[in-house]
Amino acid sequence: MAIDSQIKRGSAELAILLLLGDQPLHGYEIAKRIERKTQGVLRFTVASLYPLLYRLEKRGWVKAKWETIPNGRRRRYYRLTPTGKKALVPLREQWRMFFRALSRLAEVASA
Amino acid sequence: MPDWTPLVKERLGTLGLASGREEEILAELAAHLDDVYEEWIGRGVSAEEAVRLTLKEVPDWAGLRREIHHAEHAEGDMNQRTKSLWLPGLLTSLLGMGLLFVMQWIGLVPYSIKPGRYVPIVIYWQWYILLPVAGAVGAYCSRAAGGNIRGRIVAGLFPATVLGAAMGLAFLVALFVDRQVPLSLKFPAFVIYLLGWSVVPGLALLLGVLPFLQQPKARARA
Repeated sequence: MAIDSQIKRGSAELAILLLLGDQPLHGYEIAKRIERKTQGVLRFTVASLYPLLYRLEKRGWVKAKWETIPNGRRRRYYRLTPTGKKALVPLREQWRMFFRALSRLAEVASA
Repeated sequence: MPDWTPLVKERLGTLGLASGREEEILAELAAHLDDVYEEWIGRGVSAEEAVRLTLKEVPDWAGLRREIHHAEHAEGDMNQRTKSLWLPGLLTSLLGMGLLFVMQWIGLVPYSIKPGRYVPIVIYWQWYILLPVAGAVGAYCSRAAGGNIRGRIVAGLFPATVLGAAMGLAFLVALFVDRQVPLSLKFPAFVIYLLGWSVVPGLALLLGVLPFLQQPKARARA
């Protein structure tokens, strides 16, 4: 089932921050991991991913640095900053509450 | 393997960013397309088909340009506006009102004229003399935060503008609410209040703003 783009956009920040909380990743890796972990429900393209990453970077939640990967190519790795870590806590909680509320609503509707 | 950087540059066009940042973004997008292309090749797709599939990553290049431009400017601009306009404007207002409060507190009496049946004209000349200082502080802070000339003027004249707007609103409310007082009395009262609380203070503030409309010498030379 395709997810509406507005919902996707809203949850995208959380998905990226959660991933970067584990380890630094470059854009392509971020897109692939999100796709894999959500079993294809969330899929980021170049067009949807980078504006979001630049927005997070501008906010100071992530920081990027060029690094050379084993095949000799250079990739820009994103890391979660301490500000990003702080921002992630309420963001995660807000989404948890949101999904809990939706889940309750769905239960009521189907009852 | 295709060279993605010129392709991205051609399709994305100019982003209007500092050249280093613009090149960085082009290189990063090209690197991502490179990875996607490799993935398709790895799946056994022909080179031509891989290019076609890779380009599907960006169905609307103009849209991507807008999104990146927005991401790079919007939030930063808002912060910049807060720093160079709203905060200096607030400071000017606090300083201007603070000066008036201190004057009233120490008992300085304004000059007052009663023109016939109209409301008295109150001239806080001591306040007007001190107001250029508040205007100067606002304009200086705006300039220090990178504000442009318009921003410095707005920040420096902020309290006069707010008071002027408040007078205008009060006049409109009085027009429709208080119908017992004739317009021949309301309008002169509005003009008198507007002059005393907005126009003359605005001119006094502007005097303080003027020296800060030019760039500091070191920057002007650059």
